[in-house]
Amino acid sequence: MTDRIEMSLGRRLRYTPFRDVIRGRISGRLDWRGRLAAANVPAEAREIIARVVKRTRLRRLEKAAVANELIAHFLDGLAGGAAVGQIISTFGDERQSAKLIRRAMIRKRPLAWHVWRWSCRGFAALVALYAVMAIPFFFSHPSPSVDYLAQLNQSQAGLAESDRAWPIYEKAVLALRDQPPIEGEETKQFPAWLGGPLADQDSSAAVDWLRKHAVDVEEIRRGTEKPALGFVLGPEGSINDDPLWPGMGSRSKEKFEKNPMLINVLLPQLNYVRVLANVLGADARLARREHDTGRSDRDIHAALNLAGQIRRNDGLVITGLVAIGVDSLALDMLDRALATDPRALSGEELIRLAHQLSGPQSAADFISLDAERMIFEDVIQRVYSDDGHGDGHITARGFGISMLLLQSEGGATAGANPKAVIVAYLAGPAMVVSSASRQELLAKYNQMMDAQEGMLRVSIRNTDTRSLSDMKQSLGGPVSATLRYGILPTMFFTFGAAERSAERYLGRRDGIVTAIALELYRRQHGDYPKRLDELTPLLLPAVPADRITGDPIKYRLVNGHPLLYSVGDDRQDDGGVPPMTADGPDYSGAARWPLPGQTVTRGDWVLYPQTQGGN
Amino acid sequence: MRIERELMRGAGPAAVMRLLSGGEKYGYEMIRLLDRQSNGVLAMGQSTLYPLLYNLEAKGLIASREEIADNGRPRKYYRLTNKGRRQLVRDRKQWEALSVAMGQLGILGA
Repeated sequence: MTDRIEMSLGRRLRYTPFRDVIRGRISGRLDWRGRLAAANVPAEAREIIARVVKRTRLRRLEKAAVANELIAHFLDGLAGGAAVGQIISTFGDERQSAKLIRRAMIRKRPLAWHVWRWSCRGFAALVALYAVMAIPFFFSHPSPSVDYLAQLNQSQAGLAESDRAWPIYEKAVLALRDQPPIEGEETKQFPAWLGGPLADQDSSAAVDWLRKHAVDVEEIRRGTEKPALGFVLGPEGSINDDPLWPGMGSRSKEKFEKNPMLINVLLPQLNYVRVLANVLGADARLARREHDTGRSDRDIHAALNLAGQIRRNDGLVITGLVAIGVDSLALDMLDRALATDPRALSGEELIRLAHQLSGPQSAADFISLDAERMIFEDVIQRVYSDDGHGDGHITARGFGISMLLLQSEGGATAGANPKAVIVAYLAGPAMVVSSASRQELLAKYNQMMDAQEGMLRVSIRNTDTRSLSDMKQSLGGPVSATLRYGILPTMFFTFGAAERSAERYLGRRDGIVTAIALELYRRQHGDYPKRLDELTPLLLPAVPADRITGDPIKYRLVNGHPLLYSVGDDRQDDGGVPPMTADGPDYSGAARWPLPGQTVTRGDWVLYPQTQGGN
Repeated sequence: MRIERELMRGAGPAAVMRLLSGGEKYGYEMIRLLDRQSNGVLAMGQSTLYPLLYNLEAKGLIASREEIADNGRPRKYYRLTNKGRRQLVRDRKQWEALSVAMGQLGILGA
């Protein structure tokens, strides 16, 4: 009885493990079928061995080892005198045997193999997890349902044509401009002196230009009497005006179709309304020189009305800032009128102006965050899915929008790097789990905006702006913030600069209203009072508080003329002397609210007058 | 009498290691000895023995070597390792404790 197998070299080579080949041994030991066929075991035993070995689904070398063992077992049994039927009957269940043998043989494999196996399983689990997360990420879509642009336009779109100032301003702009339009540089269509130093407005060229356009300036004044600006935002709105903005309407439509977000709405009208305000300011100056006090008064009122029209048009913060700028220009005009020729303004006119100016009490009266919330909510409805209950998760399409927003921030985040964008897209599905839900993100945003709105309602001196910075920082570092809150750190703006602009305006306004009260007092008593509290309550409800310290504003007479000032951010009374710069006195240079430890400005914040030598 | 699978799962390895403590043996030899020495109670077929041997080998309790037997055929011999020897001592103590406990409960020696 022999088990030796006669095999060709080719077959032996085929069934030789590679490790044997490189050792120079053509063993053919993988050929368990050949060995089984050659073994001197009965056919029924051979079949059992073949079935069991095959069912183990082990590697060839392992199968060969199992086959050898089972063959040896049968041969040993037969050699020991047992009948083949007896050995088969005690063999046990074939399937169970194959299963147990497979399990045991696998357990015997080297540690490195087990490490590799578990690594593969881990990787497969990750792939499966990725696939599970990728389904909601790639296959669900945002479903924007709210037309925030329409909401933003609500107050202007329904206006009667006769109530809209914009058609009048449009004609005035076309009549006033000297050159064809240059997109983005609207102010260059107008004389340079309009945006230059005040002294330039006294040039003969300026005087000639203003006289030439007297009718157009009157039209601007007529426009300011209208209840609303009436500029409709968006690609279908007032921007479709080729004489004013050639081609901008169609380009805006194209851009909007690609990405119809509120954040993409253009605001080119703001450049023109600034120009119109400057024209009114220059005309008021000329009117004073021409002793036409009535025209000067009307220009001041027109500027204040224009500021109101701008502010009420859409409620965007940027629009509010332009309105503050126009308001400040009106204050400049009034400051000049009071300081150079106070008698030109009638008592009735002064009282009317004082009442008109006295309305706003805090930055919140100038800056509304409602439109900013709309912009954010509009982005969210285009980034997140909607489960119908106000919640949802980030989507692939929305993720693309987020990355665009992150890129537009200017390269400070991972989104600005193209490689990071690819990595972020690969990791995108994980964002479904790692990023905040739609509801959570909106809640976080609203919490921060509520805090900011609360700050706008009180004076800066009574707020701790650090709490807002802390809140923004609480969104985490660049990586964790991007993962958790996505676009929130990019889209949450702190409006500290806007608040400071509003506070500077309010401080200045307090000075002008007090100056009006002083002028009225002088007219009643023949001289200015010694103290400001003599003005109250008949001419002034209360002495205004210094916007920096909270104490009453400072008052002194200089050469018989009143000087009103805040002690400025150094909180030292410098007698109303403002900080000096290379260009001269900086009247509002000390209007700052530095955090503890920050440097302060030496000098005072002059509230009235900011006019020197008739300028 | 055939032992139920769950009981065999606990007793089988200890029985095989006890057999190998007397010297190295090959598969069929162990089946035969188990059958004879336990009066058939611990008799096991190939489907039970070989997976059991591979498991003990994977745990390092036994080791194997292949040798050409007298009849010229390759045969695999198993022997107890030092680790297996220590495990057998522990198993033995546990079986003794179990036996005493079962006796106290009246399950053994009744």
